[in-house]
Amino acid sequence: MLPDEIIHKTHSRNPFAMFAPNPQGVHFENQELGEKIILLLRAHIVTLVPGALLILLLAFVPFFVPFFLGIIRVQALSVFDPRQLILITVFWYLFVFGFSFYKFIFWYFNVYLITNERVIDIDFRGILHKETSYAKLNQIQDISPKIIGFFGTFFHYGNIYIQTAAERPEFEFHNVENPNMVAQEIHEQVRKEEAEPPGVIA
Amino acid sequence: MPIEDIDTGIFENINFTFFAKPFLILFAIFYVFFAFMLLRQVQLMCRTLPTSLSPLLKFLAIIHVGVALAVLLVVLGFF
Repeated sequence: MLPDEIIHKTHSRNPFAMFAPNPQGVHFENQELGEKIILLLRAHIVTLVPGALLILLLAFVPFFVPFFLGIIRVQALSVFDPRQLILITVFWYLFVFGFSFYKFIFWYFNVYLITNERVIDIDFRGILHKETSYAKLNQIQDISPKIIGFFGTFFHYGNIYIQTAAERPEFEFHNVENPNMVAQEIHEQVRKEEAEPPGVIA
Repeated sequence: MPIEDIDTGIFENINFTFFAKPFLILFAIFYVFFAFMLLRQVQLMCRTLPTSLSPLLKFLAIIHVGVALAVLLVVLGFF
């Protein structure tokens, strides 16, 4: 399938997709009438591997604790009664769940959208930090995709730097799949937008 | 002195429950705040970017708050 066909003839229904052409059932705040999402991008799934390994390690901590306590000659069962031990374990797994959930929503809601009118960067940088930036396609001046490093080259993901004349002068799409194809699509949308009469949404 | 001769028996005399309860209570209180903030953030983000997964994420965030509150109450009452 040609890159152009991948983006224009596919309708992604996968809610976890990191590269979703024409995503179904997705909208965004301040979406204009007639404005369509052409591409929804998230960071490549490979970037989640360090977090997943850490979560796996945290999940196994309760199995290692009796061993380490044994080194300092402390028997967990002689210090706490079984009910307390169960409660501490439940608490630990609640913490692991909370951390995993936080990591997941951090990835899930950090999205980049390309519509037929704008480029949108929705950032969820921390527990109390949400930022949304918009740039109209006719304000885009330069687009440079970059694939850096072993993992980026191997799994084909990278960053896209977009220079704009909007309030925010540079947009950065981090670790997105197929950066060259995305850059090509933005170029195409910019060309289409420039050919339209001003104020028309199509 | 060989490492085997170091007396590690001092740890056997420490009352761990005495330290564990206040620590767990404090941690549970902070955790409940964290769970509420996460719920609020999920609500805001679901409003910013509604997807088919939004109801499930909100449900999970509410359950997370509920379990965090339940654990806090259990720690306060039964630990």
